[in-house]
Amino acid sequence: MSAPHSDNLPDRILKMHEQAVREMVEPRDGISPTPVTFLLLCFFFTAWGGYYIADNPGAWSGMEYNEKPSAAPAGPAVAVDPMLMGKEIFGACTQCHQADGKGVAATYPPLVASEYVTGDERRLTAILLNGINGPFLVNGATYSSEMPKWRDYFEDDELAAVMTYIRNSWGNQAPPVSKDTVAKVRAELAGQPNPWTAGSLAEFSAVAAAKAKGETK
Amino acid sequence: MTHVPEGPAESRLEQISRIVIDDSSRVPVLLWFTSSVIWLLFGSLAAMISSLKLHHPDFLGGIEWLTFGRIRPVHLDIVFFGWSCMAAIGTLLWLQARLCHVRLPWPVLLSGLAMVWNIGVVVGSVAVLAGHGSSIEYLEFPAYCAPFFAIPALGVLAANVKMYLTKRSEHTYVSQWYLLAATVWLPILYVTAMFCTYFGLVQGVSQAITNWWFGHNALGLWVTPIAVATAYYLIPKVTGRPVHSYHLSLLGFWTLAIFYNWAGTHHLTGGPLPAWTITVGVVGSMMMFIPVITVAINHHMTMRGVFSMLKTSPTLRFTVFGSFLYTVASFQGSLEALRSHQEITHFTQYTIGHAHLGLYGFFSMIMFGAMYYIFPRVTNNEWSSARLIKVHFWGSALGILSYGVGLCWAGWWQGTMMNNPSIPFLQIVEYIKPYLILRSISGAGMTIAHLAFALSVWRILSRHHFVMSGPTLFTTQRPPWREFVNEQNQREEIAQ
Repeated sequence: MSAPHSDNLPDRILKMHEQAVREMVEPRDGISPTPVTFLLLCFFFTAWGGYYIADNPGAWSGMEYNEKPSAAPAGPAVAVDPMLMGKEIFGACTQCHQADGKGVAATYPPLVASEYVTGDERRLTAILLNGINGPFLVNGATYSSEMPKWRDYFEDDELAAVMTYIRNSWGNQAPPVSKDTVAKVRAELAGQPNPWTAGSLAEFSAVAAAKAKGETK
Repeated sequence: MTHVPEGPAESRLEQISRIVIDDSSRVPVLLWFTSSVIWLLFGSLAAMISSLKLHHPDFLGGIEWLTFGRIRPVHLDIVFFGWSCMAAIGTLLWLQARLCHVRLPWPVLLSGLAMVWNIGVVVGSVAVLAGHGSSIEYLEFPAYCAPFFAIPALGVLAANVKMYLTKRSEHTYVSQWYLLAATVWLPILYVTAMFCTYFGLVQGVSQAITNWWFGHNALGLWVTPIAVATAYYLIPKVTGRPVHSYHLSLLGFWTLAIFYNWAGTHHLTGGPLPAWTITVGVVGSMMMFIPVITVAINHHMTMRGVFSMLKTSPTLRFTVFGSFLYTVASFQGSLEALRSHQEITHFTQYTIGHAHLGLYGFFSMIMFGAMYYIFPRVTNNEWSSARLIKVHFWGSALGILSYGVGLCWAGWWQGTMMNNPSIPFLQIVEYIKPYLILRSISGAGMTIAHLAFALSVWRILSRHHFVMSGPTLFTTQRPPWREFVNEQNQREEIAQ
């Protein structure tokens, strides 16, 4: 349909397009004045925006994730309950030693009532740091699996916490392990990255025992 | 016979040029609109499946393609790309042509682009259902879908600019600013977001920022301006009154353009973003109060004294409902951005309630209003039944209100409980379960409304050569459809 230039089109055509013809005029703009209260509101929001940015700038730094960084470092570091932290980390151990610490017969040794767990803390630390390859004897039964080394995956306080946790769960009772102990053993084993065997571990603990005796003398 | 009050008289030439313009946009507008209505039905289906799964997790649980992690993104992408974008483009083509007083350019090209867009939605949806979707919200469609949307978006931009450059109207009406800006913003947003997130231009945290810059702006700088433009056109058009204040329109447009772009990062509050990006996002969101209030004042004051027309005009009732929810959902959204508010509502049903109040209660309702206005004009036909329109309105309105209020209420308490470590998580799940069922019921109401709407659309299209007399208002009585068609067939036989 071409654009008509005449004002005398038959009414029939207009009738066909009743929808378009029956309309109101095209919208126009009114020029009512802007309410003063609204302008005041605009000033309020603008002022609030400025205040909020000034109050929460996060130091304008790409490395600052806290909107009020000055508040963050204040106050002493919160002490963490090693039993809670240990329980969380123990999740890494449950695949073999199971959530109840009973292990799997002939494969993964139990942690419950095990002399390795509740006994010498330095030996336990050494096992966690370096891992151990079976077979070896726990509570009269032989276990033949291999335990990985954890020295690269956990910090001293984390290893201390998980040891404290297993030494005081499921009926085990033994003194907590401190993070200094882990640090000392880690330093001693710095040049010795291989996993223990039943033999080498016994040797380590004998030497350690002798050293400990020497120290007490 | 017309129920609308008489406005100032127009010259016959103006009326005739309007007929010519509406005729020129018929095929492209109908293609974009009809596609969007079909996608609305698919979107509703995906929505119902997702919603039922939330309280009956075993529902269709054995079908890999319909697992929640696939059907929910498909719902989102279909209602966004399929329904919202296609409805928005149809409206903007028709509206811009009218406001510029020019015929729609390149009707064949624009129709072809609608089909390209449809192919994109089909390919993307199937890919997501088959498990090839990404986890980037609003951009779940795989990268190879991007050209199907980017090219039509550029085509629509070109048509829009051409219309504006050749316009025969002297004055640029407020709706035209919004329409032009939205078509400029969409390709920028989409192409930038696709390049940045899919082709490794930015990674890690920056990728998340880009994602929400797009996700939030796709709503605020693309569908929102089009719905606001439509309301700015339809409310004065149907009531025959001038828009309240030009100065407010101007202030509202430019504040939207300035502030909205910053707001996206509020979606990542509490995430590992540099704190200043979130601070700026919060301020951008709060400053949105200004444009929203301007629109609220303008629309309310234009309607003042003629609110009784809501009883008769379907277009006006849908549009004013949508415009009202624009105010409500935007106020809610601005406050929601605050850190103190997010501590409670982030990661709860509250966000979902808000999103639907915005995209459905505001945007979709205005699009429904626009379609009730535009379909009769491009088909030269009238809506077949006022009752179907009533079913549509009440199903949609009550559905979205109970949906929004229910989920926001549930989400608020869900968040409060989640912040209290002594409440077990399962107890919270039990608490929100009745509200999830309410969500499905509300969704069913909206789905019924969409079926009624689709039926209306099918009828107005299938008999488009037959002109009924008079507009279909809520008070209009039409003969039952079957009788009406029979009568029409008889008339045709006699005529032959």
